Amino acid sequence: MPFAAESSRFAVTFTGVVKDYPRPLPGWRSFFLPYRKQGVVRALDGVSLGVRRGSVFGLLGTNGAGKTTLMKIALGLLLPTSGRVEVLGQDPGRRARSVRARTGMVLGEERSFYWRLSGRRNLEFFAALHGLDPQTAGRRIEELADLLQMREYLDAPFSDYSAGMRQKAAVARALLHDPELLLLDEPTRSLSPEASYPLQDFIAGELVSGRGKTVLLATQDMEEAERLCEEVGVLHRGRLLYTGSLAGLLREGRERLGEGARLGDVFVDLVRAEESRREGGR
Amino acid sequence: MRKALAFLKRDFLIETSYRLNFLLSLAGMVFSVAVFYFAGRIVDPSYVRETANDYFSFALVGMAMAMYLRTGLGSFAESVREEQMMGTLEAMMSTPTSLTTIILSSALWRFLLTSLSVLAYLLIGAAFGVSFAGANIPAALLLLALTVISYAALGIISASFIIVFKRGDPVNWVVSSLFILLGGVFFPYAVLPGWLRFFSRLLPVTWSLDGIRASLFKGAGFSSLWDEFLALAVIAAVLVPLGLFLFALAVRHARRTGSLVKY
Repeated sequence: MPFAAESSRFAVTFTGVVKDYPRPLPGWRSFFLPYRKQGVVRALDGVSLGVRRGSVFGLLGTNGAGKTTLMKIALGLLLPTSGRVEVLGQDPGRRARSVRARTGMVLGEERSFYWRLSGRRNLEFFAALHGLDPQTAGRRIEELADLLQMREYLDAPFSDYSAGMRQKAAVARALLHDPELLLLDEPTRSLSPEASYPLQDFIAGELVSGRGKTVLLATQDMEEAERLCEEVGVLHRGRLLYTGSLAGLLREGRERLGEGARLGDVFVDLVRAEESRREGGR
Repeated sequence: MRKALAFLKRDFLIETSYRLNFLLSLAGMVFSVAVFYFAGRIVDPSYVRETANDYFSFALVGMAMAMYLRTGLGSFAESVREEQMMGTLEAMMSTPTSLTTIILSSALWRFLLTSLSVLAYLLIGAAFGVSFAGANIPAALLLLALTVISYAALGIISASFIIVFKRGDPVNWVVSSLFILLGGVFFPYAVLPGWLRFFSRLLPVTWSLDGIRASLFKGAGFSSLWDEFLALAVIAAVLVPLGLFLFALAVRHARRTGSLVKY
């Protein structure tokens, strides 16, 4: 339990977290067999890491690495098969609603809004689900519209929003209830640099440095990780290959690959080494 | 309460953004009422004399209550499925609002719309000559409330199946088919063979329609409808906890298998 004793320093800790998804057997057998007796796919394999309060922790991994699964477990949307999770001092599996009241999540899902409604109406609805009264919600939406520079299209139908506008709306939704912790699942995916850079600056400058929020950021954009994160975890096929400071990861990688190596090179090297290990194990 | 109102406001805004839809629904009601009005002219009123004045008034109540049946059975499962497909279910679940509140509140608008449609049906029926003179409205409303609770419980069971199996919900299919066939919706169950009539008496729809028709057309009150009240209350008392239990089981299964947002 490496993080248990220091839980006050960490906003999020995962200790030996395993997550298995059922893999239905082919044909009719899967129809009659109970869930427990079917095959499983291991999405997370004994993941242990801690996210320090007031920092940006980058969860680096390619598609299918297990980043989104880990985030959903942190919010209580999924239950781990085994292991221990603590978010803001609580177990999200048992106290999901309490954790969600203090956590905001930006989903990787672009369709997670009502496209027939305006951005403002969407935000008002989600604010109500967070228990905000209409007056407080209205004030908060105005504040966030200014902060994220989305005032000019706040009352336009969501269906007219560009990818960048939708991402900003998703960030605004996650901030409605002024959470202590933000779980950001690839928040700048599909954004051009002129849209993603200001958003990254907002996360690092306004949210973390300015307001002391903690951010767990899942990304496969190595440049983004370098711009934002102090600490990172490298996840590949459910296994955590590295956790610690970004500087430490780069230092270790450059010892192997040479001084000119960038984070992307170090990441690819780690993943390849893991793939070779797996191949050798077969 | 505030959350329920937020759901109602959301659904009202979405519904009114499709302006033609409501007008077409209203036109559809006029046409279906007209069909039963003319069909009623060739049916001998003595077949339905026990609970209604003529076949048209009998079928009008059957039709109106079948709307509640469809809404009760389908709205929870449809809400789950629609939110899954729109990608909004997970976004709602990321807030401190329980899935039970989300599902129940998502269906509120449909129940409200159904109530307005039922009222419209009855008004159109009155325009076609159905008489509600002497109707015992409080008794009819209480029976309606017990009926809606029973149907909603069945709907929650149906939603549990949708959460686990995504499609092919057997509850909705079996229940709606059986209720329409055996429940006396479009014809009195007295015309069924004796052994089928036994099964009719096990269904909430039978008790509900008997009671509501008697209160609307015969002015029957609480004392003469005691059997109907008791039967519906017992059915609701069994179905509501069963529905909530199965729903909790389905949600736990989905959180373990990661299938809550899959469709």
